[in-house]
Amino acid sequence: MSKRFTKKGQMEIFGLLIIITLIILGVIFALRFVVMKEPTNIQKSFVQEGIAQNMLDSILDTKPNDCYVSTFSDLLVDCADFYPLGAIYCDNLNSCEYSQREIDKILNNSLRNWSYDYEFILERGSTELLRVQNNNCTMERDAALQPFPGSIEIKFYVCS
Amino acid sequence: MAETIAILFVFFVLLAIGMVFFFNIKKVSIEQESEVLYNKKAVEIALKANYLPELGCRFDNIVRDNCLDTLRIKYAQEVMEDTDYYFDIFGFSKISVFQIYPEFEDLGNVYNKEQSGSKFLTRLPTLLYDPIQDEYTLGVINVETFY
Repeated sequence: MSKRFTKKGQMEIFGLLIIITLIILGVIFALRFVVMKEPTNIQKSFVQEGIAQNMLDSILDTKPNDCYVSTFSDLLVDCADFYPLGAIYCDNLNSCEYSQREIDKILNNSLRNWSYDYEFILERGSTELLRVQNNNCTMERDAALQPFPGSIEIKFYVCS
Repeated sequence: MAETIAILFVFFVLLAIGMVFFFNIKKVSIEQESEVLYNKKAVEIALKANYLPELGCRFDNIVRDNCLDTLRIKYAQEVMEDTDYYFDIFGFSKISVFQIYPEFEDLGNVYNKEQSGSKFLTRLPTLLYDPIQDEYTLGVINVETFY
């Protein structure tokens, strides 16, 4: 008689074990796919992409302070055409030195304050002529590119 | 009999724990989804604000992309707050414009309908055009979306 009860008890414990196993699997599944899921940050990806292009476009069309040229793109093209001396002088600096100082100031007061890393590069062919940066963008980055006649290119990378 | 009751008791306790856990997980998941939705809404409002034709730079009636007219910004708030038309577009949000180069300058709010609670902040660099001086400066459009 007692043997029969023991067997029935063992069967029920076996059933409970199955239920507990299923619950544990459910918990692991839920943790894996719901709690540990990386939140989709649409805003961050959109904003970073928008920042790179908008910032480059805006810098290139902005009028440099204390300078007779009307846009930064005039200064950067002059820097590339007459590197390293430049033909345009503003505030006692040649176009390369002045662009470097002012662009650094702009990016420092904006992207750096907003905790973004960036690289602003002026190139002619494969030669790098000017670089303004806040750390290196080695991770995922958003890029904006502006070509000018004469193999001049401005590359702007933003990452966080 | 007592054994069956004990087994059933344990089973229901486990079931209750499972249900509590499931509903908590579901709650977290719904909160994450609603955050994504608010995120999308914030991005949508930021884009609308940056490309609003009423504020854009116009040359011979052609609107220039990524450019805001400082004179239009100056008078925008009083016009935009008097009508419900803009509430349908921007909802509860605050849109302000700052000049960051050559000097930092607060150009004021374009639209301001705040609400208590959480908010998303979206910043977009933009070109600012001064039609009086006929000069371009660099600015930022700040869009705070409340939810």
